[in-house]
Amino acid sequence: MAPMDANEPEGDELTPLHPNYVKVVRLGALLFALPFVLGALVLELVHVFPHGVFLVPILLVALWLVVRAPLRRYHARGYQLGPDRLRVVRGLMFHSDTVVPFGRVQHIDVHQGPIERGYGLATLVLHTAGTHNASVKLPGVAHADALAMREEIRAHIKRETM
Amino acid sequence: MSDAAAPEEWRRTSPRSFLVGATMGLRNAGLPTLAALVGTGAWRAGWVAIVPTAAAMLALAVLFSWIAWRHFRYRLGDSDIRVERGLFSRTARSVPYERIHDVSLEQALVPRLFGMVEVKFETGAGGKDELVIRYVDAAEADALRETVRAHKAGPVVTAGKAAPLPESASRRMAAPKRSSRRIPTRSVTSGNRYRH
Repeated sequence: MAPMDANEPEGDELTPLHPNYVKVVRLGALLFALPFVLGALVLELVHVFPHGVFLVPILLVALWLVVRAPLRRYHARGYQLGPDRLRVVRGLMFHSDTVVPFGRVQHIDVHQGPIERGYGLATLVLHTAGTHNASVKLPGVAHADALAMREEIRAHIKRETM
Repeated sequence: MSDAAAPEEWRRTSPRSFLVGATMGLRNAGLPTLAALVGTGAWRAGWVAIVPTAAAMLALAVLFSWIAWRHFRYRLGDSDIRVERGLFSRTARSVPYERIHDVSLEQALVPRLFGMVEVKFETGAGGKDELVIRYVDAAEADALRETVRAHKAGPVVTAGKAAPLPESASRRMAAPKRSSRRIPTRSVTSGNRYRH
């Protein structure tokens, strides 16, 4: 897909996320869709409405959410670790391209949810000074990579302050 | 985790903080439970209803508090403070010393009864996203503050970083009056952070 090539400010390559990220998003979507599908099934079984009025559309939407959307999202995302900044690109319908200069980073989190942990992934969170939208998240990187990126950013902060 | 640092550098908060957590949990759960007992009319059954409820509440408070304590550890590194916490969902936070503006020590009522102090490292990242270590004893809290202060004073001090804790702790033991009196917020800001 690579929709970013045209409007890339610096013309450098984006690093794609770890392929396992698709599975993580799929599992999350599955857990999200499950209650709705179950509800539709119940409505189907009680025979109050005509057959399939709820079940069919909900199943279609769930299928899209679980199968198609994660792949598209995966391809829309990417990051780029520069010498003094991190660029995070994301979004299908609402596209966003965020640059965080390391000089503005206050602290760094490496977060692992239970699903991410199962796939060996982590989310790198950079907290910047400020009150609104102050943290930039980069999900779907391998845990070891996230730790390495943390070290690099931290080293940069140290160098800059000295 | 998979850091190069020696595992013994990781520290847990004081074991007593688990008692504090349990007490706070009990305090928070007490009223709702009472309301539930009265609301459902279960209290009319007398001890048969009240004793198991209270026991379950106690067990849950202790369990959660213990899990929280067991899965929280921190480390004072060469250039940052690290905290790792969480059972299912794990977060590892790293705060470089350069970014710490202020170290505040707080004692709320319940922790105070147990002689525990809550240490907050404020970084200027708006709102809740700061580093909190709860709870440690007064000596450790002071040592934490001193360590941050030493690192802010200059990078040279880094060499002595392994030492300050026990040394500072013993100093505090020798003069406990002074340290316990000035618990509320003390600033460690060294003023050089606005230099850009």
